[in-house]
Amino acid sequence: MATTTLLPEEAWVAARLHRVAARGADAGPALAELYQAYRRPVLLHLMRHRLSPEVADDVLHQVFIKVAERAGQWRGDGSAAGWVWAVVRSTRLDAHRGEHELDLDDDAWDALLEVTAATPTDTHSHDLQRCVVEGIQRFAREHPERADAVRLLHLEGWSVAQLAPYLGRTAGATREFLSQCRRVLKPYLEPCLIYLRPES
Amino acid sequence: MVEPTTPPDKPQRDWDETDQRWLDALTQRDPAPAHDEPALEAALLREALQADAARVERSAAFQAVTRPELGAERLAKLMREVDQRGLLQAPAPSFWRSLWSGSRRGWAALAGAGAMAALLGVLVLPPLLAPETIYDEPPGWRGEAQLIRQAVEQPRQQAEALAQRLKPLGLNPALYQRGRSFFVVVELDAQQASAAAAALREAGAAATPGLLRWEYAPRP
Repeated sequence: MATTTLLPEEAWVAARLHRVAARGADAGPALAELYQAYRRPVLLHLMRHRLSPEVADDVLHQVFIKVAERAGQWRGDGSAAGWVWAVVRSTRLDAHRGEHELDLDDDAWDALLEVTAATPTDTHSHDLQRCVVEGIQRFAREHPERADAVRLLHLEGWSVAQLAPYLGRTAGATREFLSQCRRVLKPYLEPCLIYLRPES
Repeated sequence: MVEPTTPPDKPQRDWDETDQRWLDALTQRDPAPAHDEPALEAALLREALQADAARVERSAAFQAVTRPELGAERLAKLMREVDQRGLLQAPAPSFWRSLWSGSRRGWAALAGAGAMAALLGVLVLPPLLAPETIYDEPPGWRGEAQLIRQAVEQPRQQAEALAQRLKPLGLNPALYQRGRSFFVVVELDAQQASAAAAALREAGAAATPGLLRWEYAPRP
């Protein structure tokens, strides 16, 4: 069930950001290559944040307008991919402020969960999966920034060092933030522990 | 001074060993994860995140928005807008180069520029004296930090000199700018704080681990 987004490598991103920042004839093709590489992972990221497809597509467009405008601000001493994701984050937060979230009612969530839980055949796994999906959905709705951080750690394989500039925190403050995430998250998943205990 | 974009965190406890085990299990960096509570929490979280991610990726909406033909259409729209706004245009050739080419237009421009200069001196010189943007704006750091603020004659030079003094001590200072104020930000662990104690004291800071931030503002 693992999800892969095939993110471009750091050196590849850095080379193209440099070309965009230098402007001129080579900048357009470099921007287009970045757009093509990031389109799918960024749309996935935005829709995991419950933006509707239309808004996610619009946010993606705005992200790359900003990349074109501001590539010169990337000084080359930090992660190029991290810089691009920081632009994604700030643009997404602007979109959230505009209240463009996809708001599903309970029936819609139930329908989605039925699709999600279609793979497991036994009732026990079904219940566990339903429980954890519901838990993480509530957590993500109530603590979107914390959910974002744990998603990036697990699904995108980021390290604390990569997460820190994305969150605008130091490495130490990021660890503290993650410790808080763990504490805040616990009550959302605790009810699911019952499905992991041996049946009496 | 704290510049939060969101309310600052209120740390309630330190990062401990169980947090590290939870993180290792979440990122699956531990080749032999323990069967303890942090590992169980992380396993549940992994299950939840993967199920949630798979749900989005399998959804008809995601499949529709990532269609290759739609991607090509959106890319064309992006490049049109970038082109219309001139966002990636190369910088225009310099005025002096056009003058050197000896064209008539260049000399005419020089005469016009002379007249304009007098006008600019009167009307728009003060805004032009605004400081050049050398460094990025400081990020909105959250959490505890040691802050040292000084009003000095030459903020930029002072900040750059401090950064230069800290680098040979194995520190990695970052420079930022807001208007005429310049910032030096560095994060120290206990060992670094001890090694750089003399330089830190000289710059008005205590040699304690954590985030350190100097702000050099121009003298009023």
